[in-house]
Formats: sequence, structure tokens, C-alpha cells
Amino acid sequence: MGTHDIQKSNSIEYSVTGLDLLRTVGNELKLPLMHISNSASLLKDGDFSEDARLAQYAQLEMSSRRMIQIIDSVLFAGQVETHQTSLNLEPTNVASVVHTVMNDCRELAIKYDKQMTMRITQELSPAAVDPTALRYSLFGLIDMLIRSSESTEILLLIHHQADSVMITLKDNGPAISLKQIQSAFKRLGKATRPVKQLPNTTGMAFYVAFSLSRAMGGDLAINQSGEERRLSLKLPLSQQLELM
Amino acid sequence: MKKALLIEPDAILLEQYGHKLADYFEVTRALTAQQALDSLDTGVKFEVIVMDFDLGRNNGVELLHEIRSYDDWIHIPLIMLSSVPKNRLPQSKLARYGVVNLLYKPQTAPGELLIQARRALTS
Repeated sequence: MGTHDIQKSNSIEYSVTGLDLLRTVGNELKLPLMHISNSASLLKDGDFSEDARLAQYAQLEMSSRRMIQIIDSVLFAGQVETHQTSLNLEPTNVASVVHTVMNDCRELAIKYDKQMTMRITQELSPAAVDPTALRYSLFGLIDMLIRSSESTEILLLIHHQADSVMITLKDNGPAISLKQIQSAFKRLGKATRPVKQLPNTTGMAFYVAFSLSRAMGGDLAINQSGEERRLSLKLPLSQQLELM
Repeated sequence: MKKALLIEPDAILLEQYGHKLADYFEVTRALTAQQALDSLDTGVKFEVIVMDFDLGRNNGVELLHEIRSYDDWIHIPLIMLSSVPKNRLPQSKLARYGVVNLLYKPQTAPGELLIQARRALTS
């Protein structure tokens, strides 16, 4: 009877977590869907110049690609978490992955009038990561900051710290809601000192970055100091791979 | 040309709604509550305000309270947009602040917003 109750309780907990994730992903997809729907509607009734018409098609393309990235990253994180997919940890040039993701997010950054700058403070050793997992983790975080940042610049700092490579995303803006993250993802809720509401976000990027960075032996830390926000992705150096 | 103030925190939606409203209105766009207040402070007489409920640091109710605290702005018809369904918003409170129409954003195409904004002029 006791075992049965525990199983039932676990089952309910997983159902709730699953529904939370479903709700979060649903909310995350709402915005690009609204962009697509509005662009289609404007194209349907609009008297556009050639340039404006092409801009609407570009918007359709960008929002569709964003939706695919969101869906792919959540599916990938879910598969890794449930052991349906294993990660391929390999020595990886982190700066090169960051650069690729920045390029993927460039159009969105222009739309939201944001500048992305990457700074590498020293010569980097390769990290032991799965490049796809790192790309999805970074995409969600950068995409979220572009949409929610109050500063015009998002800084990506890459440096070594002990036996890790750190990627720190830094900007200004309202603090990140720990409550929001924890209520959506109870199992993953480890963050430091965030306090208020982060507008225009659902916490989904945190879910993906938390779960994938931990699966790679790293972590994600969220810090707020005054107006400055810092999201720090910690990744093991590839020397660690040789020890495993 | 009638003047509209559009307050929407998402830059892409601001551009899309602003583009359509410009078919009939001279549109001033604001991404934040502060930008909206700055625009109102210029003394421009807006005939309608369209605003999002969720404005990040300031929720829509705070901005509404501010707008309705001044005689010059108290009678401007106001349409509120939200990504949250109507029945999960404080409808009676919003009505007390003179919100003439509450629209669910995922089901409000730019053309529909224009129709509702023109309708609000006669409310």
C-alpha cells in the first residue's frame, strides 16, 4: 500500500512537471506564432512597397526558424534527460559555437535593436561538450536576453576558471524570477539571488540550459547585482574528458 | 489625422500593429511605460491609446493608474491587449480605469486592432 502510494505520488509529480513544461513551451511558442500570424495577415491585406513586402517575408522566415529552434531544443533536452539520447562529449572550441549561435540570433538582435559582443579574455583550451547541446543551451539564453534586455548591448565573455570554461552572458535589465523558474521546473531550480519578474520570458531557456549543461558535467548560475544580470554557463575542460 | 499611442513591449509586435494602425492614425510607438509617459508628457493630444497589459517592470494597471490620474488624459479611450485570456485578467478593475476593449493578442490580427481602435473613437 505504501509503495503504491509512493508510485502514485511520483506519477502525479511527473504529470505536473510534464504539464508545466507543456504550458511553458506553449507560452514560449505563442510569441513567434503571433509574429507569423500577424505577418501573414498584413501581407494578405496590405498595400506594401516591394521592400516592406520582403521584410514581412523575412519576418515569417525568422519566426518560423525560431519556432523550430525552440521545439528542437526542448525535444533534445527532454530526450537527454530521459536517456533517450546520449550526449557526444568531444573537445570543442567554445568560441566557435558561441560565434555560430550569435550569427543564428543576429536577425533577432537587429529587430530588437540589440548589439551582441563576444570577448575572449585569454587563450582558450577546448571544453568537453556536446556541440549540439551547447548550441541549444546558448541559443535559448541569448534569444531570451535579446527579447528581455533593457540594455542595448549583450556581452558574451569567455574565460577559464579552474578546470572549466565559463561563458558569461551579461546585460542590464530587471532581475530574473527565481520563483518563476522554480515553480515551472521544481527539479531544476538551483539559482542564486534573482528576485523579480523577467518580462517576455517563460523560463524555458533556463530549463534547456540547466538540464543540458548539467548533463555535460557543467552548470548554469544566475546572478543579479543591481541592474546587472549575469548568466554563467560552466563547462568542463577537455582534459576532464581524458580522466573520465 | 487622428493620433494613437501604441504601447507594446515586444519590438516586432509593435512594428506589426503600428504598421496597420498607420493606415488611419498617426501612430506614436512606445516599448515601455516610461516611453509612453514621455510621449504623453509632450502634450500631444492622443485620440486613442492601445496598450499591452504586461509591460515588464510596470504592469499595465500601474500605467493605467498613472494615465487616469491626470485630467488631460483621463478621457482618452483605451484598448488593452493581452497574451493572457480575458477571463484571467482583472476585468472589472480595468473597466473602472476606462478600458473600452480588452483584446486577446493571439487572436487579434493587426487589421482587427485597427477596426477596434477606430470603433473606440466613438465610445
